Amino acid sequence: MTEVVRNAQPTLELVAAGSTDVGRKRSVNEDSLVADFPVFLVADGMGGHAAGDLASAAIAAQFLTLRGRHDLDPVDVVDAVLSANDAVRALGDGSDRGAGSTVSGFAVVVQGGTPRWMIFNVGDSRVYRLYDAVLEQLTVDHSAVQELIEAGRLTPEQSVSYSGRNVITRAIGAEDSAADYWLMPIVNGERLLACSDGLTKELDDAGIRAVLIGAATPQHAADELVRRAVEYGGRDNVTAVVVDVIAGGAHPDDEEPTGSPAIGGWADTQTVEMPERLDG
Amino acid sequence: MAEWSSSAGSAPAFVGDDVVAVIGGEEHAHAAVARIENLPTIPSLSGLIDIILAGGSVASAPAFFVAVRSEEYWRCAIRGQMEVVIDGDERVIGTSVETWCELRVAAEAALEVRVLLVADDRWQPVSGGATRVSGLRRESPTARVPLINTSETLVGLPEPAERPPPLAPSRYDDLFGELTVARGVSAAAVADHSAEQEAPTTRDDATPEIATTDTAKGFDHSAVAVSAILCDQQHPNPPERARCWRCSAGLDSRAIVRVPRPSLGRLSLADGREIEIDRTILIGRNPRAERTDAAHLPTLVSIGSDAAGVSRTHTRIFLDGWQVLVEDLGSSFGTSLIAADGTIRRLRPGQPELVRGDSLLDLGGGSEVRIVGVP
Repeated sequence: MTEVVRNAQPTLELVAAGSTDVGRKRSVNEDSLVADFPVFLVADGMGGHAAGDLASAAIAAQFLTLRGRHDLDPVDVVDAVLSANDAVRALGDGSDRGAGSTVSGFAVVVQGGTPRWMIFNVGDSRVYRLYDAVLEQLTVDHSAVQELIEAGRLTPEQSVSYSGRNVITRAIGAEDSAADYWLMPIVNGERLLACSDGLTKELDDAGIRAVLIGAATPQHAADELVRRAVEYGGRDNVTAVVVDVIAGGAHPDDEEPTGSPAIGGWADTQTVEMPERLDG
Repeated sequence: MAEWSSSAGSAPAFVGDDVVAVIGGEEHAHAAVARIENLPTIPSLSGLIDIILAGGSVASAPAFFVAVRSEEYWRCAIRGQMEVVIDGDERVIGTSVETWCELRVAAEAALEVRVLLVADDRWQPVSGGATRVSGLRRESPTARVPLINTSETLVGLPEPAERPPPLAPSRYDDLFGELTVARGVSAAAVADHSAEQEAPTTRDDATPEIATTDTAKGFDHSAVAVSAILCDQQHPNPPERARCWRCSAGLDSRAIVRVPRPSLGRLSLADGREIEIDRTILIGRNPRAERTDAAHLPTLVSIGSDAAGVSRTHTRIFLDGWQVLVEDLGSSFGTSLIAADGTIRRLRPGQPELVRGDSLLDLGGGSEVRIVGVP
């Protein structure tokens, strides 16, 4: 792609932190995390015995090859997912037990000189965004529960007690390892969270939101989320990566969904004039 | 027919109880859809393909997907820049063959047809009859199959009886019979592979090569191929052109070949940015791309914050074969497409319009984007 960039971007300023705990029921922490610019992710390994932690660690290692890069193209993230898949599959070779892992996170990519979030997901770890005190789940789980909800066969309320809620439909290293991607603006003042399902099993959205709003720093937020998940049951490994956008992203005004009405009188004038000029 | 839903687009399509067709191209495709719509009886698959070829050669045939349902299965054919996804899992892409791919899919399977690089994931129920789409899909009446179990205690165990059995890979129903359930949790990489021996293992061996092509993986845009004729300097051109759109060389009697789709022009912004039109582009004050796969990742183009009349994600530019289309995404102030001769077309939200030659996009509030170099 040939692009000429005239407007230099202000330096992107992020603060990132991660926290993880084995929880109360498991003997091994099979989660891994990356919280190093420009990649932030959690990977939740599975497969039991030795394979799960190796799988999630292999994914983290693949993404860490991108560490320090300020010029990531979306293709680099796609390639990292593919390499991670190769690495995890290689782990499964030669053993009678395969390895697999979820991966959910976000990376700073650059398109046309503008930094963006590229959010990626395989499996049922999640990425959330807190902005203006509103919590939004950005990723969609690759889980049997999610598919039943989308098919209208299960309500989100019923899903909490659904017996098959551990079943995921895609994983790194599995037959279906295709990632979903989103591209989003990076907005000053937003706080992003990547977490393993050990967190979302114990805290609902309201609980996550409360901590994200209340914690002063990403480290406080990540530590407190993990601490609460363990306190509330800790049935699985718990991992959280939290990132704040301090500066260098889009101005918050640009997050208004439509044309800014804040500029006095302007919008009114335009709504009257535009159709006349264009249709005539 | 309520079972089908569509994603908005420009490809002529027909949705009936037993016949479904999506055809690339313009007038010719409309004529084909009209003929299919007016057929007195349910046609055969070859009858449908005859209608699309309309006596012409296979090489010049448009991209198409057609399907005819009998009691147990859909018989489908796919060619060109389309892919069909069966049960959300098996993909067949029409670009990798000279003629077309035929497949047989269980009647209850979930089917999804996408015009490559164009279809998005906003699905609306479709009422049937002739329409225009970028994709069609039909949910399976049975729930999708859980493939992987993350709970260690369940990994490798046989499929629990209370869950619906997984659908067999549908194209091979005729090989395995109705009761074949090919893959439970044992097929997943996390599973105990000793359990996998009990499942039919011939499925992968029997998968034709074309079905393993997967544009959802990797970022290889060359996977999107178009029919083209080449000038002496090997510039690819739309097959109907008489002169090369790059160097004006004559193109008489050139053979049609399949080539990776070239960039179909570029956007030129007021601040000097130039962006190749080689994939979907989302323009806005602060655009977002919703859930997509690797092959459909768009380019986001932000119009500066001073452009107060521009919506967050305002306009989408996308490619269909050799064509560049533009669609307003329900923006506050709308999008207008101004052709070189001054003709102004105000875009209706969600209804893509063809970009014919160099044009100007007016996003309101004085924000304009030039589209240049379109073949």
